[in-house]
Amino acid sequence: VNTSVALIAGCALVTAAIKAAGPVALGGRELPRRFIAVVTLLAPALLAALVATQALANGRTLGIGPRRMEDRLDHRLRDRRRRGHRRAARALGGRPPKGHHFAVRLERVRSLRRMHAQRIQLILTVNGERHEVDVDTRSTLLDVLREQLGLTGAKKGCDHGQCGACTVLLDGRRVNSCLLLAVAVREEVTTIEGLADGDELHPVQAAFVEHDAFQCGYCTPGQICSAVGAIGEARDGWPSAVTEDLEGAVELSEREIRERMSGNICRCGAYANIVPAIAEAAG
Amino acid sequence: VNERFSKRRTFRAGLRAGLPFALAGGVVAISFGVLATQAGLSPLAAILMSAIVFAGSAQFAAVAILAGGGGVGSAVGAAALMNSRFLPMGVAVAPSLPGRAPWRAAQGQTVVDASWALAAREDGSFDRWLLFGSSAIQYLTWTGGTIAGALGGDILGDPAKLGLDAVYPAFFLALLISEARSRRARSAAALGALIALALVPFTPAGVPVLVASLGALIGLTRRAQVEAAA
Repeated sequence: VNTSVALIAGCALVTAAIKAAGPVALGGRELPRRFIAVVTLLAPALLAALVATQALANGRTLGIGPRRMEDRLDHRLRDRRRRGHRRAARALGGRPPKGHHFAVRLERVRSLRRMHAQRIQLILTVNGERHEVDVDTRSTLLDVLREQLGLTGAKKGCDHGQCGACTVLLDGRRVNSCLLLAVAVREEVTTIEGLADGDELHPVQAAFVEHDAFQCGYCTPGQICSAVGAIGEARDGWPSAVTEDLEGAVELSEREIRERMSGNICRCGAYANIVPAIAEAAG
Repeated sequence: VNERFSKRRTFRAGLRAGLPFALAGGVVAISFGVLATQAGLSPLAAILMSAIVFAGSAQFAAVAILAGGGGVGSAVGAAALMNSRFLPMGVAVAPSLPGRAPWRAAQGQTVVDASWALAAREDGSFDRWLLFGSSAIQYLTWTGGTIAGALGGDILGDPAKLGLDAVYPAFFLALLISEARSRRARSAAALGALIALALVPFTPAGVPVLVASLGALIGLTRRAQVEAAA
């Protein structure tokens, strides 16, 4: 609530002030065109200067972030090692380089970069519920789900997108959540925890139980989410590599199911039951 | 009596002239309502914001920054930047607004993009009652649209899917077409567009618009004044 009040009040005040400035200062007077020209000329110039000083104070030059600054300094250091001091001296405009000079600037830029890192507030909608989370910009959706939201259904198997144990649905589409940065998620996330409707299992879940389609169960959450996604894709007519007829909805034959589920690996080898379970759920 | 009559008539003319822009603005406001509630503002806050701030681009900019995890300070800063185009616009309107300073300030609040363009007369002065009229109708639809968007956003879904986000550019394009009648006006517009395009990759939102207004200086060359007089 406080944020909203501050936001509204702040925006209203600056808007009113900006709109009032011209009329209050110059109202009722006939103005020479040249004067208007000067104002149109000066307003952007002043503003650009303001933005530039702000940017510099934050340790950025316009368009050149700390990241690139660091790269450039790194490059110069390497250059100096490779070709000797003289070349570097020329790069710096003829000044003889002092050993600490580079190091100090590099360290300053690095610390700026650490300051600019790195945590961000996100709004994630998971299983119909909105969550505001504060995450490291580098964390994957899987880690945020498991470690910050306590949703440990999606599993971390290989952590590089080969096993499918981490599969979740984004607006109904399958993704490997271990390969997806949480900051990139704008869609609604559905995990295995969100499939059942209260005590009533999702049809795919029920079919897995019915057909005993697992042994240790580690890959099962991923298998089930993936199957839900696959059934949806087939219904919407998305072809797979083995689809022959490209028109209309796809019928999920055993071959189609095996192809479409090939991204989910089961070390127990429960495929013999997984395939019929999905076939039944697909109806 | 006569003067009051003509005031009322220009106000009504303003209402009529502003109507198409008001309708477009209403559609934009719906998408603002949806986006603002998605960004975490309560529906009431979104509606209040539209009713009090009444500056579309600034509201979008502020809410976008908030949604992206930015602070209130930078959100208000972005709003100020987007609104800074009202500074030269206000200077241009100023001679046409009578009264004492507080009254002039109040009248200045009615300056919005479409009304400002509609109220401009050939000789560079502004018809203030036309300005008030066209702003009034836009205020109604802007607030109304936000109410619809904020409360009915769930039914509507993602505004980008309906193409509502395309209304804003179309809105300004319509303003531009009605203004860019002379050849010189068109070259000023083209110059402004080029400046803005060149700056967009490098500067924060808002700055390109301002610097692009330098393109308007074409209208001040001696030859342009001679042409205008003729």
